[in-house]
Amino acid sequence: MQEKNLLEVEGLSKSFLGVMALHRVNLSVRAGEVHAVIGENGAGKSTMMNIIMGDLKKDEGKISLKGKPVEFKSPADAIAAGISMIHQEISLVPTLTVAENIWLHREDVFMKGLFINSAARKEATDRLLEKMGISVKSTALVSELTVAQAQLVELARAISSNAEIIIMDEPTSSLSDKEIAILFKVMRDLKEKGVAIIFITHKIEELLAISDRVSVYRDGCYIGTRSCARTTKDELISMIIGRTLTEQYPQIHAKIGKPVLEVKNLSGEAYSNISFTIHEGEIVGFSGLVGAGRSEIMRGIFGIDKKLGGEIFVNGEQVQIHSPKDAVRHGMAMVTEDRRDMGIIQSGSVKENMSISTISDFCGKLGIVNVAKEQQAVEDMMKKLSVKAANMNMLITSLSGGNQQKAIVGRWLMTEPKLLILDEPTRGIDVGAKAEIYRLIGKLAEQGMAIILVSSEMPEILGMSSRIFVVRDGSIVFECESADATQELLGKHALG
Amino acid sequence: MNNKALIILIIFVAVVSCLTGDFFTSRNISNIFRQICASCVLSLGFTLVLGSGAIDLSVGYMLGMIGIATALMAVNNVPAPVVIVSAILIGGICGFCNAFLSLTFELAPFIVTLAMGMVYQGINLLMCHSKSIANLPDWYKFFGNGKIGPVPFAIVLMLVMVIIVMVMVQKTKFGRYALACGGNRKAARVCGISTTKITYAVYILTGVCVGIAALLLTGRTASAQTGAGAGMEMDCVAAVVIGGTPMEGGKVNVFGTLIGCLLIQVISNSLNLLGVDSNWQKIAKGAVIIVAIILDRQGSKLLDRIRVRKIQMEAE
Repeated sequence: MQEKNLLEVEGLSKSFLGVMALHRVNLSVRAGEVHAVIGENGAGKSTMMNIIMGDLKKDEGKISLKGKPVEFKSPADAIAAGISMIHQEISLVPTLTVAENIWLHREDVFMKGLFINSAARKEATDRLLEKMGISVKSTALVSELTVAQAQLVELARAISSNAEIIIMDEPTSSLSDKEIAILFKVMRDLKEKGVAIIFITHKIEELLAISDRVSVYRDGCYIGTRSCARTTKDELISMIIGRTLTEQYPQIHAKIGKPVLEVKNLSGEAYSNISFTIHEGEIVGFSGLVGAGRSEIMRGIFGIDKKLGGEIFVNGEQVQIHSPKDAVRHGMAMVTEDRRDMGIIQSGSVKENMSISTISDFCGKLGIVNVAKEQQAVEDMMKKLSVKAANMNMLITSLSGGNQQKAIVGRWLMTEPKLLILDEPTRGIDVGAKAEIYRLIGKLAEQGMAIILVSSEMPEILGMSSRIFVVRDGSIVFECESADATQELLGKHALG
Repeated sequence: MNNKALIILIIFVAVVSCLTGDFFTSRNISNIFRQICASCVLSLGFTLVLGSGAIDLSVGYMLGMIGIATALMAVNNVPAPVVIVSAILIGGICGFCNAFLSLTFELAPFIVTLAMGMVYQGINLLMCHSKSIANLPDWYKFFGNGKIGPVPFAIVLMLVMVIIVMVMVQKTKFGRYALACGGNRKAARVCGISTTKITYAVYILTGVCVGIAALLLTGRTASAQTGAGAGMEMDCVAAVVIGGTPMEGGKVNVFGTLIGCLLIQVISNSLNLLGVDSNWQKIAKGAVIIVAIILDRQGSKLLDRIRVRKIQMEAE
């Protein structure tokens, strides 16, 4: 069966600052297929997409659309030629409504003389959202939406542009199962209409569920393309990391000790009456849909957001936590969900980012930092977590996502916390780095640290936790030992 | 190579000294340095504020107000130490007010400090009944004209301040915290930093710098002018940004601020020497500042490209 290729990339190369990001890679996408693109962070997927979209200039190689060679100078050119991209980070205007965002730059469809016919625009938006099965009001401001809802709106925008090729850069990374189901339905509908979808993802199960073919990239090189019907998860993993991965989740032999954190009747804006206890050496998983209130509970405990009521006990003593500073003083640490927003300090180096919470330990008189001592501590931690960076004085933003995350975890481990809260610690990082983070979590628990793991990935929760809570609509609705838990059971309670 | 402003300054000086022989006289050079003392100390505070991710547009009028207040005290025979401490104290209190208003009511520092600047200007004019205050005692004039050995006291004070701020920003815990707040305030708070305390400290320190700058400026003019300081905040922005401190916060270049101040003064000075009409001077000054910043940014790109070529050559 010889199908015509809609988009053909041949021998594409690109280097940044002398570093080869892409080395003669290929990609061919047919009309009406979902073509998955997978590879570790730094494999070159985003670079390739940015070149296709005209955001970056290629060094060499050929891109052809329907058999004709093309070279887009800007994303606007690519969009005009029928290629649309949904970026990983949300690119909607928060102060505009859903309808305004979807038709931004394309208002001429609704022009009535000099003015925009908002009623017609609203109607078109409502129709579109309803067809896609998205329950978002077209008059809602984007700033009022959850991350997952905003992602679906972005999807709606891409679809409404009648693109022939839609590139989706990790669209599921902040979606829960319910929204992923919507996304997959939309993808199947598009496929039927002959639209080609390039689906960039880190999740292999997901990819196998929806895609027709998959192309694998590693370290800027093209490894190969497989038909999803004829490949296995194991084959893909070994293609992605270049070795076979036997056990993703480590065996953890931690001794459960004294209670570290006890929360009683904690309430906040998005949750109420939360009570639970966590012991030394315990990894407690918090499962549930995105927007169920899991992150909000953790932010409340850690003092990032205001609490409305309830009590918190650390090592048996009641404590008042009004800000993260109080939480840190009581031996807590928290890796937040959104690395860019609340994790890294973009203007700082790797070293500055890692030492910021413990800088007092390296200070002499007058608060002057003993840089030698600081560097030693940072270097030790980087080695311990195998943070890969040319040197510690590089900007943290020059690191890959996985290494940034390890640096943030390192920042907190330097405070020697008794309780570590991890909110989606493996979001958007590659398979190899994920396995390293899992091993690390296991080791920390074995050393007696209490760990809270918030995650939307059920296998992660099941594979890592010793006890699991399910959160729905701001309440803990289910609790079980992980030995008794299954994906179906957790899913049932999460959906209610 | 972190100081592209320095290179621009050298090129500018080279061009000007070719055009006129009057530039490289010891008198003129000394003049330039003495003229930048007040604005440089003021800009040091401004550098801190920008680095911490905020802005303070009230510094100019605050300086004018402190100048008048201290001059009034001085001509009424208040002892020198009291006046000096008052200058620093008033600056600190003004800084505290700026921080208090923007933090407590969650207002944008831009608008708070803009409005407070007007308040300071009003207080200034009320205090002196819109008249300059002359006949300052000698100790006050020492801030402008005094010398320690052969070096003017003002220059010594300025350099000491540059070093203090440099150490504070680069070497201390406070500096790290302030820059972390500027880089990502939310993340800094999550790290356990009390971001409100840091903001108070930054504004108060800026106020202190303004107080010292007020003493220097009033001392040099030998009288407190009602219009002193007006518009200086804009010169500060220009000097600090030319010096390499970005408007977005998270990064500072303290030495660059000194160079930025020098560059701006050299521009005015050389245009004076060349006999350019004062209205044209304004246009030229604005144009040169823009050119300087363009060169600075393009220079960064050029440096990147050179670095790439080096890496590539090493790779081969």
